[in-house]
Amino acid sequence: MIHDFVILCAAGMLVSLYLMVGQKALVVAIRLYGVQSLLLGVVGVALGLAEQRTHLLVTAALTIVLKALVIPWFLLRVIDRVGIRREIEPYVNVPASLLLCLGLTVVGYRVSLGMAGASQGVAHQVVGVALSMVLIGLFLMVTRRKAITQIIALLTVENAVFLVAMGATSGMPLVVELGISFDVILAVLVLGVLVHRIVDRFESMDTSRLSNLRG
Amino acid sequence: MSEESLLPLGLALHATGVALALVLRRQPAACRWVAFVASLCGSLTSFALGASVLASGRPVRGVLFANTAAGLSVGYTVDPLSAWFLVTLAVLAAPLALYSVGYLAHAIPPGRTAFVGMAWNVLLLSVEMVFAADGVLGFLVAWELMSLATAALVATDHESRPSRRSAYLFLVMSHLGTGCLVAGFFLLAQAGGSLAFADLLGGSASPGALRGLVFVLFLVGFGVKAGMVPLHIWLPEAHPAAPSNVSALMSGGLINAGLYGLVRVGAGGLGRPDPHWGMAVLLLGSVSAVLGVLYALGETDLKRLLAFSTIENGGIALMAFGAGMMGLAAGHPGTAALGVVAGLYHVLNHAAFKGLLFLGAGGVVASTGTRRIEELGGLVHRMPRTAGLFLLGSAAIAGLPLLNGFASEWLVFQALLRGFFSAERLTRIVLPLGGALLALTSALAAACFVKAFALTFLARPRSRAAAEARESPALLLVPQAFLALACVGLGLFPGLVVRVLGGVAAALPGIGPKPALAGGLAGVSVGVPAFDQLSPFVLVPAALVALGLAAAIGFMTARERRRAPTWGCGGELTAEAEYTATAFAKPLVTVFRDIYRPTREVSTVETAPYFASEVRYRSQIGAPFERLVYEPAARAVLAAAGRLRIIQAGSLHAYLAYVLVLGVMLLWWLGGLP
Amino acid sequence: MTTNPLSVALFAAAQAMGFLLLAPLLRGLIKKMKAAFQLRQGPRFSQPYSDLRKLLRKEPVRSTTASWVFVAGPRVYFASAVVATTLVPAVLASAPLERAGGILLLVGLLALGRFALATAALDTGSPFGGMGASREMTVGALAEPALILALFTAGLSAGTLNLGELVRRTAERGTSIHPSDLLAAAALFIVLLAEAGRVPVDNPATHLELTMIHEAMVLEYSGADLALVEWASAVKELLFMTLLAGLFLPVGVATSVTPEALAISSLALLAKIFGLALLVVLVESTNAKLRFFRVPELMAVALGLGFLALAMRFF
Repeated sequence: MIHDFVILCAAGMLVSLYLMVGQKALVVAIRLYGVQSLLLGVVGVALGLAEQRTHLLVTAALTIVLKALVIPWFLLRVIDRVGIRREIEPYVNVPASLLLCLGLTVVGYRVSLGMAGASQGVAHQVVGVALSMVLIGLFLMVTRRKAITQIIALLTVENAVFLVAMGATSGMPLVVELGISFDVILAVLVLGVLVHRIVDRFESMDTSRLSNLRG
Repeated sequence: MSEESLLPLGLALHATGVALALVLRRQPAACRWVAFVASLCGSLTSFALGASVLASGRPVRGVLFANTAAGLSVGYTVDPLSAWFLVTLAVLAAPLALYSVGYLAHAIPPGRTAFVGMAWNVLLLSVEMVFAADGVLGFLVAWELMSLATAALVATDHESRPSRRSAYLFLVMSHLGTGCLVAGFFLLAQAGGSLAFADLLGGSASPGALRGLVFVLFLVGFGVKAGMVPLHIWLPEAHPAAPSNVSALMSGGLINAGLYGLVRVGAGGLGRPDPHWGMAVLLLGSVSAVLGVLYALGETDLKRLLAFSTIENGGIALMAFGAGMMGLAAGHPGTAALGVVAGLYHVLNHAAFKGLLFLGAGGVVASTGTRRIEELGGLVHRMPRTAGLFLLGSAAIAGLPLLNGFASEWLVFQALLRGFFSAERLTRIVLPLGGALLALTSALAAACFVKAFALTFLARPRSRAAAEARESPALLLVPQAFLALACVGLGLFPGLVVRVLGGVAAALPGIGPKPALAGGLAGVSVGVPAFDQLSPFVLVPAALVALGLAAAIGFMTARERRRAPTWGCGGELTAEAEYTATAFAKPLVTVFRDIYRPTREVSTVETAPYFASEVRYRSQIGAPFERLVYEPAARAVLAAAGRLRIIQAGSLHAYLAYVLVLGVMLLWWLGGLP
Repeated sequence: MTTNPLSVALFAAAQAMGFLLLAPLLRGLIKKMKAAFQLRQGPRFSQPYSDLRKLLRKEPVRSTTASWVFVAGPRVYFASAVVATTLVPAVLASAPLERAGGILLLVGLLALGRFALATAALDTGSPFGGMGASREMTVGALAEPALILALFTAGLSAGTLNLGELVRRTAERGTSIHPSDLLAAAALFIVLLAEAGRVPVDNPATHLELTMIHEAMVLEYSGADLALVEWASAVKELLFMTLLAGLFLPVGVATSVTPEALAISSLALLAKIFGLALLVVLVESTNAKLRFFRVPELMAVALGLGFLALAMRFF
């Protein structure tokens, strides 16, 4: 039963990602990221309780606090400061994006099907979802122009990796997970600063303007 | 205090130096003292460790840190070879630390003192670790740290463009070498299945067909650091650009890192060496030695001259090691031992006399503000002690008897001549050639250092700065005196040094005990029955008596000695009439012009026909390696890079798209696998 | 032969004294023979001795620009030459201080002398000194390897670099002349000409700035300083001839310390030296001095001869 719940949450994460693909308001995207991280945390709690892995509980709590609360708050503040609230027309328009995302999901699942005989039933579903999320996250980074969206996409990829670590393996050592969380925080801080710099220089968050810097 | 704790203690002392220098960065004087006293203590500790290992013959092992979760551990093993190099480093670094305190007071801006103090200690720490590392990981990390610390020190004067360029060149060449080392270790580890030196370089690893490639990679990697021609182009730029205490350390200490690596690998590390390996090392060493001294002869910048001389001495050590390797390949452990002993002795001697010379040069540069010999002169009256010590160093490096340079060159000749008793045709051709080149090098080195000493210190000062120079303070002179004493001691007691080195050679894989070399308090003898001997014990009394005789004859003259100005053919002789450094070297440059390819420009400014008011003369020695090897290589690389620029669209999205497409393709392919 | 320190010291002192006393005579002999070639009378045989005595009585004048290096130069040069004489077997088939070192030490001592003199020459600030030093070091840079190779050939064919031992072994083996010995002897002879400053390398009697090599280096010396330099140069010349004689013509060398053997050996040595002096005079009288930049070519010939000698013997 727990496993079904976990699969449901994973699916929820994928759905939130699809929603992110489908709309343009930056604030909504950030909130969706927050929801996604919350679901990730819930997965962690569930697995931790079900399989008696206490350090998973610690990790899950950390995830909820940092990724569902702190990071979205920080990103919202950045947007506030900078004053840009909408994504502009991406390279690939929304309907086409959604179709491509479906294709990427298929690719992701194809790999998970290859994992025959892996541990529990949770494993291969979770891997499928996670891989799809990675690919879709990358896709978002490629096709969206605003820096904030790209940051969120990166964070989504990171969430996906975490999901795999929790669901398909017996979890990473606590030291490693702490290290990764720290890493993520730092990355977001740095990226936040960079967004400011980009806006300063170009009066826009459009990262395609960065090609002007090519020497 | 146990032996095992000495190395960590030494490293900790250096690290403390780094930390304290950082803390005291706002007080330059305190910072200097603290950082360099820490460095001195660290050097003394590693000297103690090295000496104890050499005395006992037993290696000292330990672990610096281990992380079982990651399966990572960095340990150290100080065997007799490492101990020798540690001792050499300490003999140089200890007086240098004292010198630095005095020298850096005026040579660098006070705000940069902390930086130099920190980088210095990091450098010493990493070099000690290079000598002591017993695994690939520790070695490579220490090696890289050493390169970075050196580059930082070379760029101390980073406002000046030539300094920056020198540091950059150093970094590029250094990484070229490190890349080769990494590749070599990678191949070796793959074949050997482990990362520990005991397994990889203990003579039992067999990379099979790739052995030759591995050796070449190591030769290039270590050769860059040792200043082997044609990988030497960074040396004459980097050594002069750094402050003199750093130059001394680089010339006398860091070259040794490359030589250490070569001995580890070549002297049985990869099993029995191929005969071609020893020959290659010997030939490359000979070429380095001859070219090094030739270019030194043509230099008029004192520090560049000394840098080229470092290339020459590195070449001599390589010749010795090459001869040893050829002996090992032919199955003559006696010759192998002789080669290794000669080379290692030369390494120590070089540290002593090169350190002395650089410190003297540093004192001169600090007093006069110029490195150019053409602007110096007359310093023997203004800086008498520096002059005397520099003269001793020059005599030592020129290989004159009773000093250490002669002793080690003597041994290198012995190693080369042993090849005559080998049956191999190739050996019998190559070794005498090496001997001839060594003889030529030695004679040219004497000429070079007559120039370096006499034109810097003697005759009349050629510039105002030289005329007003002041003697260096005691803090700069005492280290020089110490190194001078070392030169004399190492020259007068070669037998004792040889005895210690015999133990080092015996500990190397494949060499074993050495029957051919015997040394004692009285002297050294090679070969049984004696092929040749050297006994300063007999020579010194004879020399003293002869000198006494000469002095007595000198006294037999009239009591008065008149002083008069030098005869100038009726006119007044000024400093302009003196022989310059360029003029001194000109005959040799002319004799060897095919190697030097000098160019010359003469332009006259005539105010009236046939009456020139000004003549400009500019002569330059060609730089063949830069022109023929490196510039074309650099151009090829830039051209290829230019062509590859197409994929650099400059758009962030394009790059991310590359990642995505690659990811999808990979996953699709992976998914298809069972 | 003997290991008693006292007898070694006496032997060394005796040999050194012998060289010191006979070297000016060699100079006188060569001058007389050269004069005879030119159908002149020439100076007395004992003229060099008178010259030395004169110089020793004169007051040395030293430049105000010079330092202690100028004074030390001739003394070190003299001392190195004297010590070198004790390393070479002369009358006996052993050298007094042969245990101190062999071929390499000998060459090293000569290099020490050259280094000292050249350095001191630059001390006065006179352009002649610089020129002499520069030229001397150039010629020396090429002569020294040639010397080493020639000596190595002799040494390696006897299996030892120890000069005394070398002569002993060659004497035992008898007079079988290998072509490489001739080449090595020729190389050594050329080096002798260079080190002694004889035509065609250098003219010992000139003081023209374009033509001086050795003389330019010692132009500033006077009194006892000059006496030491002249004396040491003469000793070196005798040393080279003794070396040539001992290494390549070890006929009649005394292998035991009996009066008859010593007498025969001394006579043989004098005869060989006379022969070599005659050869030097012949060369000097029939050749013109080479232009300075041709001298390195001559030295290269010597170097080539030396290397060829080594090659012929060993490949």
